Amino acid sequence: MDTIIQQLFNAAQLGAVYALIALGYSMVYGIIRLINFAHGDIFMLGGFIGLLLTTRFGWMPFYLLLPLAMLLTALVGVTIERVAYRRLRNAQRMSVVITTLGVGIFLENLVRLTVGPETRQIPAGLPSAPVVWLQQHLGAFVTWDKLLIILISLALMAILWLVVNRTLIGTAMRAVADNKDAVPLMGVNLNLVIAVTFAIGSALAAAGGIFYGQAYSIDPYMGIDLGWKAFIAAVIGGIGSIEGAVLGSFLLAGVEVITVAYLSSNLKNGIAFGLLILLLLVWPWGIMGKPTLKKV
Amino acid sequence: MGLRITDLTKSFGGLTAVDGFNLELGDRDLQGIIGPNGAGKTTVFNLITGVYAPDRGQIQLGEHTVSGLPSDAIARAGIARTFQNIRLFAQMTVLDNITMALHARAGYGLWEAAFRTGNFHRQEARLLAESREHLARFGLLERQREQAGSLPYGEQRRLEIARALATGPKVLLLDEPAAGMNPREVEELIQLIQQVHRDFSLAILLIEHQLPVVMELCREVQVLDFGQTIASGAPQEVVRNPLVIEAYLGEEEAPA
Amino acid sequence: MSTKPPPEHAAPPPELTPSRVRFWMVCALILALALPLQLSVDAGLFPDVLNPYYLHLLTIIGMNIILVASLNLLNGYLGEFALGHAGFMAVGAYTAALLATKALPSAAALPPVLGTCIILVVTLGGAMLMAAGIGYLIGLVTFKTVGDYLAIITLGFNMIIVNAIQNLDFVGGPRGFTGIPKNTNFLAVAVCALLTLGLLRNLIQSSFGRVWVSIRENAIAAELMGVSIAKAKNWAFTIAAAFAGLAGGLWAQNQQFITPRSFDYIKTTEILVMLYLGGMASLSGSILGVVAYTLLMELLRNLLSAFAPQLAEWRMLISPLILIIIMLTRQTGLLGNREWRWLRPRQGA
Ligand SMILES: Nc1ncnc2c1ncn2[C@@H]1O[C@H](COP(=O)(O)OP(=O)(O)OP(=O)(O)O)[C@@H](O)[C@H]1O
Ligand SMILES: [Mg+2]
Repeated sequence: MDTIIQQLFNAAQLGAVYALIALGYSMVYGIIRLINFAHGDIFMLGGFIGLLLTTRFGWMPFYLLLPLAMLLTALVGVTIERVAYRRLRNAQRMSVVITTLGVGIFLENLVRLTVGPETRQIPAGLPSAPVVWLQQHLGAFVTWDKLLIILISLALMAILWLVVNRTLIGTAMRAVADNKDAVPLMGVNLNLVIAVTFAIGSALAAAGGIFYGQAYSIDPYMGIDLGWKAFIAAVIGGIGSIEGAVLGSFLLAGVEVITVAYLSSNLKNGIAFGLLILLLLVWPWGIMGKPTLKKV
Repeated sequence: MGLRITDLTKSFGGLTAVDGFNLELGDRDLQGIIGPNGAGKTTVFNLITGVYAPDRGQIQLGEHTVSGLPSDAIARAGIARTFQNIRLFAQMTVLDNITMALHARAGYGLWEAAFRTGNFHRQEARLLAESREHLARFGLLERQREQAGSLPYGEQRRLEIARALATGPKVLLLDEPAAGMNPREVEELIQLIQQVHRDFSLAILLIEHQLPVVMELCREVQVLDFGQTIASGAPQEVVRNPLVIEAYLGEEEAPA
Repeated sequence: MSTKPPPEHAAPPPELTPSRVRFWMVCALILALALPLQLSVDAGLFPDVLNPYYLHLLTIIGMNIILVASLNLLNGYLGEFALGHAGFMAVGAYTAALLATKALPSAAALPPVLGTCIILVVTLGGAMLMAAGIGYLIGLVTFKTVGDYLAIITLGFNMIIVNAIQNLDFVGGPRGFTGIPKNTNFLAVAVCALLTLGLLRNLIQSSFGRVWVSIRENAIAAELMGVSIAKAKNWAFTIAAAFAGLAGGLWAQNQQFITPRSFDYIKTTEILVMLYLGGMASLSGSILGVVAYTLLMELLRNLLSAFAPQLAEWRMLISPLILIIIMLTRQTGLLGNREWRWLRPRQGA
């Protein structure tokens, strides 16, 4: 019983990180139909920005450090969109996708060459004592940082939901997702909407990177693996859908935690991709995605 | 070897785009379908060619039931079409657009192509000659090396008809072939269709917005409105039918 | 009728300008150069001029040409966005390695030149067959997916293949496969690369190639001309996979050591960079892209390490930048949609 609850928390923590990344994939795809292959590396970069901030400004409390790292990463995300993607918005779709691949590799190598290829951990900013209440009542050993990571992630997702559904810019984002061509006619600044989307996606990914660096560790290439996992989660949930991205993330994390616990950790990537392929074959639009009809 | 359609029906969500459509198209017939915008004409073609699966009804080509088959099988069974919004292979040459259409009769296999055997060369020469013959018939031979997408609009429409014919169909479906043409081009097109109808042994079904084209070409037309056939018969009679006049007047642009 | 000049990237008319330089002549020339080159390097002649390292570079170029040209079949001619080429390469590499070490006698036990030839034919043939088989199966399951999803699925299969190999102990798992005999040299790679180019060229300039390009241009129209899209695509996937397997087989028997990691996403991306640098739907572009990229990387390595040895690694930052710059400035690559004359066959002989 206690191990099951512990595994549940493990899955929730991993799922929260996946969701923070997956949301960026999903939002960008929803708005400009682009698979941003560099997004996993933005997540990695966010982790390293967090690491740099903690090592340079050790006095900074976590609740300042997290938003600062998110802000900086958001700036990077917006800059990349401005410099590399915007000019290709009306070009052949694959050109942009390839560009995102290039940007991703660039970021990986940049971090590897400047910071180094080693695996690192972000020094604890969150308390790592066990949650006494859970220990006493459920017999489960769950640390505070794990619980906090899950709670803060959920809070960030709730804020995102409010922004998308309850604010002006969110309405504009949904309008662009529905019909990109009609939006400029309605007096919405398309560039602004897309920039905001990249900013939000990058900021959430940065939070994911920092949490991941606290809970596990970071290295320059982690964006590939985790980025892909999160992407799979987004596709499983139905890419373009915010709720779907969150759902898919927790689902995938659950499957992975079970695989590691009862089968072998070597199999978890294979199983994740197998799941993706299976799902796309029987359910090409994901759980919450909308099918598109061919027009003749 | 004509086309027989009974009770063809298709809905999109709540909208019934085609409702109980029937057609008897004889061996060498040339019939027309007219109707206001959104009447369901293109959808009929999409159903015949298997782009959409019908909700109900049957499509028979000669003895064979083709409804339910995949598009490519229907095409190979002998139904070819053109598209309302031209779908050429834009970056291929005019010649290759036609030669491609002969793929089913290429007469050589993968290994023969990979190693360029004698048979490959013979068959390729045959395909090339046949394609040029088609192009010459449609007055496009001089354009053979140009990219299909760079042709003027009228010639693109002609090329699309030529390509459809190159597959050797028994039934040819033309979706608004005169759209976007100037009066002189329309006149040429009418002659071209008559010539095709005379020279090839096939049946033609024609969708057209411009009534004069239909009046001149077809012995029989059906008028669709909101998916239903509201009139059918000789074009001269059909256009005098009050239902038809009303359907067209319901729209802004009344036919000439 | 007025004749408009064809647009810049129009495929040049095949038989308007019959080329006097034919494909076989180029092959003969390259082989005539390759054979003495290989022999003199093997014999250690002129060590100052004929540095074995240059031969190694040429060998890498040859193998990459096979990879890039075969991926061009999918991404350039067929117009799909396949991202799993390194996976097929891995299948070929491991198959060849297994055949060479476990199934076949060593070259020393056989007559000198002929023995190596037989070993190569068997190992490379096996590599191609195995990769083709996997490519066929993957093509079979993915036949419905297009565009973004095909990219995802092919990359997914690449990762699954790498992951599977990591879990197979009898090929060394994550530690890699060691002790593969060196059966390949530059000459063998040159022959294979020329063969690949010739076969791909022949296929592209046939009814099969026209069907593939028509799918790229307008899949619905192609389907309504009677093309079974699934079948045509599956052929292309199988063929491209076979050649990727060939490159893998050569790779394994040239490097003598392979690990699953050498065939992951990074390798696929490297192949993509060379492909897009050279240009889509052009075999000439594939050759040029590989040569330009490889030489550029070498140049950068030498240039950067002239300043400081540790700087050489910074060239890894340049390669993605090249990709980005190509995409932003010249999406057709160096030679997109155009072909050198010797790679255009005569038509309708
Ligand atoms: N794939 C689809 N999904 C939903 N609705 C569709 C689809 N295809 C057609 N329709 C609808 O079915 C109706 C008939 O369309 P169709 O294209 O057949 O008309 P049409 O008679 O060809 O008109 P036009 O003269 O404008 O070409 C229209 O209301 C159209 O919006
Ligand atoms: Mg129509």
